[in-house]
Amino acid sequence: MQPRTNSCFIQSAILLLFPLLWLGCATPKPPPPLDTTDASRAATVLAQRLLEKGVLDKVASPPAKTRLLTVVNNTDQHFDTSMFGNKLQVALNESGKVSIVLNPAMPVDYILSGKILSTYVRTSERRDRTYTFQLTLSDPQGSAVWVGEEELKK
Amino acid sequence: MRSPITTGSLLCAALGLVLSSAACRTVNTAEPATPAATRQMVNDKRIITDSSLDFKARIVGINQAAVGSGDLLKVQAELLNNSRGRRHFSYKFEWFDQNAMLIQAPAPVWIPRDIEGRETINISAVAPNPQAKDFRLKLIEKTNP
Repeated sequence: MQPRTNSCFIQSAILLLFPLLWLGCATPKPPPPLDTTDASRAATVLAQRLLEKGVLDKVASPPAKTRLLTVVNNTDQHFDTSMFGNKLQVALNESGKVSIVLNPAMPVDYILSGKILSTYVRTSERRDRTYTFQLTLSDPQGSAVWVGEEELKK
Repeated sequence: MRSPITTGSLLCAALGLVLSSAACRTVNTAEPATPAATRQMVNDKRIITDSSLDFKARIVGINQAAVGSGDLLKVQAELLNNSRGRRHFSYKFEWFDQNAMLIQAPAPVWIPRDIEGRETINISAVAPNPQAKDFRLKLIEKTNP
């Protein structure tokens, strides 16, 4: 009876360990790059946070005239930042609290600038990339009146 | 000739797998017994089509508040993971005007979230404009973490 039990345990151990060893030896896949869905998600969340603070309502004559600067891509990957900027522009315009000013000579209440950063962590088990979308609302004198950021792990 | 892998050994292996997978992390929490804040709870109506997801990300309650200059609705849902392991899901809020028409722009987006075992989290959204009077929260299981 004893050898039979030992045999059961050995076979069980082999059956249990084999998939774990196989998983341990597998090369981790590199994280996928940023896509349009990520840009939409980050822009939506950041626009909501900006609207929630109510700073855009504190102008003399609403809606707040705002200039959106080109979003800077500080990651090591190619990414069309206009997707993020466009989604942000739609969300803010639709709120009725912002009027995006395209003419650079026209005076504005606020300037909105954005930046995308990334950090990369690589271990034997996993490769993680975290993208950080930063947004800053400044007055024309350059003082930041609101700063927000949203992280995305890939 | 007997097969070297018997039914008994397969059962032992299955038991081992079950026991090893059951060793999951769960979250302990603490909060004031008498909260200082008062929540304006929403009397909600739920449609559950995925009972498995409802177990992993159960809506405990929904509350709302006016934000911005008081003209924007903010909705917050409290979710509880009743399982013992980390789960992944996505959610989105849709907004409706006073005529119950869906506000299309900006288009609602699915937002992925993780929830640890037995953890309670809050998800929230701010209405896209002051015309938004009602909302619908949608949850879906996310297969790829």
